[in-house]
Amino acid sequence: MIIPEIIRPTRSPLNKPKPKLNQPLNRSAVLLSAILIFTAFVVAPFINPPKTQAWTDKVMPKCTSLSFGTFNWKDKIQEKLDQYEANNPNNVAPESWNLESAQAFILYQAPNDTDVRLDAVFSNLKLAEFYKDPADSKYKYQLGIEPSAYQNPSWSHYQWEINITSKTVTSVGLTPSFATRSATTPYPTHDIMCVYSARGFDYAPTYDGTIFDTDVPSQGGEPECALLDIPCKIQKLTQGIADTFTAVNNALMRFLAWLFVPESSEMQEHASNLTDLLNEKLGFLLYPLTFTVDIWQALNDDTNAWCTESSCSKNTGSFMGSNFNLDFFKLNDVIPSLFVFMQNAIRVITILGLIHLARMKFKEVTQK
Amino acid sequence: MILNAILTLYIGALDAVLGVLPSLPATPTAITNGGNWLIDLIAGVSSMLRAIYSPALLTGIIVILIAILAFDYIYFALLWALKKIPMINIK
Repeated sequence: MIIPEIIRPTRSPLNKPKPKLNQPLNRSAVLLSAILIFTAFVVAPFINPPKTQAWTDKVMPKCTSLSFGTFNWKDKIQEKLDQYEANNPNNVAPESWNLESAQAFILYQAPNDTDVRLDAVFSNLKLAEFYKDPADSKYKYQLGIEPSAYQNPSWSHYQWEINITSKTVTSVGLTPSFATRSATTPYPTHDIMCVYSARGFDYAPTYDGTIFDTDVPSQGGEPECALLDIPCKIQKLTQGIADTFTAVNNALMRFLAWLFVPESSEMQEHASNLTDLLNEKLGFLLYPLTFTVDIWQALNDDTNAWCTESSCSKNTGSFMGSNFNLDFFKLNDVIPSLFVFMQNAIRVITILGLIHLARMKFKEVTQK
Repeated sequence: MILNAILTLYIGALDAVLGVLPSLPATPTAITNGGNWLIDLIAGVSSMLRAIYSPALLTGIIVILIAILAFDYIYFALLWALKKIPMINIK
């Protein structure tokens, strides 16, 4: 009988040799670490977590940042403006409302509404300056704008807040005219896009500018979950995770846009630098190119086109370096029908001439 | 940022290369004046023709005119290109 030999493991997990410090590191691990560190240091500054507002006497109010990606302000504000004008036919919005400039906003309280609803949109414009009043140690704000319509003649910044709170103001239209009012300091530029409110509105991170379906949240933000309110805590946790993913996604998008899409001003600066350099160094060698570009621009420039409309007063033309009144186009003002007839006659004659030219060419080719 | 960096490097390299060379003199004033006069003339004629014919019709007229006047050259170039295709067998 053969007794099998006991096989002893030559290497047990216990006596596994420890890695030496001078061994080369795993390439994949190094690469992954590098990516993580790069992401953390480069993308993290772009993360802009959603902010909530809180307005109490002792807490500095903050603004809710809204980006163009989540706030289609033109459609939203235009819709509200139409609604406002429909409800207030005698109190139209300020004329300076300009959707294109993106520097105006409207703020109103819907008629017969129990809640104050605020919607403000502004960009590249610092509208409010918050400060602490030493008289009563309350935080107040100044608006660097001129109210175009307000109910209380003794309007002041703090009064405005009281009015809104007490629901005495039904509508306030504000235009960024930067008139100096009672220690109001205009701040013409500030690269921020915010919604300010005098009360403590808490905007959800996914707020897109629509009116709240429910009541305006109470001052100071949403109530905290009770100690044993597990569903509430789970909901807050889920919401927090979702907000984090949204914030990271937005940050990544902003980072990629910053990385790959240059701004037009930067491209113009590069083009200007290149043109200056070539003009300085190449001198007359660059002139043929400049001349060609100028001719192309002259052929496609409509600004110096002669006017043939009767509403225009520009019936003088420039030809061979001299300005004169072109009677042919003046005819459009005097006898428009004759002008149109002559214009069409010239067009028909030209087209017939082209047809004749094509026919001659056809004969020439076929008779070769 | 990447495109900005590439363009900055390119302009910088071009500046370094051209910096070695002396700056060439600018175009003489007489030539630039003549060129400007010609450009003004072309702009005036072009705007007058556009006013008479309308831009769309003027574009069509110019295209047809070029096609007729340069017919021989266009025909020669087209035939030369077609001869390169063996399946058509044009000689």
